[in-house]
Amino acid sequence: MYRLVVLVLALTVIPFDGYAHGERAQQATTRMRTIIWYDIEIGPASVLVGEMVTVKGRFRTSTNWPEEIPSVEGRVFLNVGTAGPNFVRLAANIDGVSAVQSTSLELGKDYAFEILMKARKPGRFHVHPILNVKDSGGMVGPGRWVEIGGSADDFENSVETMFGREVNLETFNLDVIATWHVVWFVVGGAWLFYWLRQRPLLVPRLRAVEQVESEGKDADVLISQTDVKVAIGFLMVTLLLIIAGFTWAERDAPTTIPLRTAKINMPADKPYPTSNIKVVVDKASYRIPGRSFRMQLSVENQGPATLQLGEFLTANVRFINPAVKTVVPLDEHDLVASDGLRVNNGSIAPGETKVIEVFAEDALWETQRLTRMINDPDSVIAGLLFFYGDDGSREIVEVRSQMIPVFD
Amino acid sequence: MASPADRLALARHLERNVDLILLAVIIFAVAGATIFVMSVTIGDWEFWADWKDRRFWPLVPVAALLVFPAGLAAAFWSRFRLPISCTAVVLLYTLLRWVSVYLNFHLFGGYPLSFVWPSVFIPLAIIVDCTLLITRSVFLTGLIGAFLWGLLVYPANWPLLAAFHEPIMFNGEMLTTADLLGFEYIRTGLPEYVRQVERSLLRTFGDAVTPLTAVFAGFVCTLVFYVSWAVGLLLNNQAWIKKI
Repeated sequence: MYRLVVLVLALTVIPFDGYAHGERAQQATTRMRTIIWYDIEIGPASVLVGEMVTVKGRFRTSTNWPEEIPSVEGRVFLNVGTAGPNFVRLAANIDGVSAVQSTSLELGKDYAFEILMKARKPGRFHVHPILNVKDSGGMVGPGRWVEIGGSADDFENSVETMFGREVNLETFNLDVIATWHVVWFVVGGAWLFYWLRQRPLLVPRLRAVEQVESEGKDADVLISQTDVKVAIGFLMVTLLLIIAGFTWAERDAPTTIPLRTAKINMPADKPYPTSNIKVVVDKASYRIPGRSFRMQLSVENQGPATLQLGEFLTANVRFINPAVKTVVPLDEHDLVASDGLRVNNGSIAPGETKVIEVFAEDALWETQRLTRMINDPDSVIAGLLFFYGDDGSREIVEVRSQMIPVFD
Repeated sequence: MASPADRLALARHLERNVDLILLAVIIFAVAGATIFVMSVTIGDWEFWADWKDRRFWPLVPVAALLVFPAGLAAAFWSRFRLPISCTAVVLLYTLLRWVSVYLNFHLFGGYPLSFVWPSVFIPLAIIVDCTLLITRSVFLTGLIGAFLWGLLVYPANWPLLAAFHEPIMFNGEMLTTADLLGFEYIRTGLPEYVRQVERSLLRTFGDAVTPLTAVFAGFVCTLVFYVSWAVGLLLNNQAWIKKI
């Protein structure tokens, strides 16, 4: 019994490190059809306290965004998914526009982003880009482990206000905050002490109040003139302290501005992404026993280079065709199936239209809970196809289809 | 067999201890309930530096915080003629809030204390208690004391807050120091737009946002005081309470 109590206390009281950010918690269909992250780079993978870490890449706002989920056309904020402020974010931008505050985006567009962070606390942390979408939640991108070495004591984070005040954000104004809280604790404590020193307090006063009221009198007679004088004194001191503090603050910081909440405007004329390839999904199915997703695609190559399908990206999982390119996972949680993509009848010559068969096969379908979409009201699968040309070019196209499960 | 003098001494001794325990239990229970309710309803306003705005922070938390102290004041005044419950509850609430932000947000969450400091409410509670004692009138306490509770929250906190509202140029944008703290110290689950703070709207009456909010907060707090007092009195007069 004793051991059980210790175990329960240990599990509930001792804090454990958090390793995940709920990236698998969202419905598969939501992850596939909202923000499609690609070309993500997070690094370096090992830094010292005070050194910089960059999170950058691109994301596409899906044209297949579920209409029941509020989209990026409302309000979004480019964020970082990590276990607390182990980094400080020094800059963030979307398409080169500073993303210090929230903004709006358009559906079906392609955006580049970059976040600069400074390592703050030693440890090993999983870092994701996140796009918080108002009324929908965080759309989590791929994560990487970042190891921070050194000592937290070496961390410095200072800025200067427009009036030349040096601000150490780690300890800013704490002396003033602590002083005023102590002052008010002393004044409040003194008021309580004035009353509580008359112990026993409650029971005799209860009796006295009942006694006075039973005699048909007002219990206010229990309040002495001294009590009133003391109360007037405390009231005056409190009001004077408030006025003095306010006056001091007005002199200390004579020019202040309200909190900034303006929405950042992105350029309005951003073009839709184009490609030299046209793809139609004829049919798609998922064979449950083999964890095998199969698509039949009608592909029209409108470009000058012979193309081959090299990658299928859905819900941050990358299925790679090893015949076209080599991608290895960067760490144990990098969602890459290095030989997860197989293509029949693969090369598409310039001007050619043909039907190809694509197989995306890996346990990641199960471990990333992507097949749970069978339980969704609309079993729609969507993602990006990456075609590579023999001239080194890359064509990206978004596809979507109903996914039909095959149970045998 | 104890003498009557011994029995009287024992009774007084018991009375002193019962008194102390009863007071501690009541104040802790109400302060605990207050911090729980505040945490699950309006906690963010109460400590994040970049939530302490001119429109909602001086209104919503301060009105919500008054509910329990005013309810308890009804009981303490009607039964004991003691004007200490507001100060006692708010003082303990502030202490618990400090413990909470220090343990949860500073040590465990890793945020600097300068980003998560609790607001000052103790002077407002002293004003209500003193007004109740001086006027000995619930009506006047609501009209003056509770009004000042709402009216003075901004000036009472301004010495702590003003420096956080100095402008800073950051990556080509003008921010307050509080905004910069909010941007730099990453909150994965709390994006910038989630803040319920003043936005540019037509109904700001030019520059007079703070005084208008303060007066409105005073008006709301007066109403909250009367309602909470009435509820406190109602609960206090229940038969099961009287048996206790």
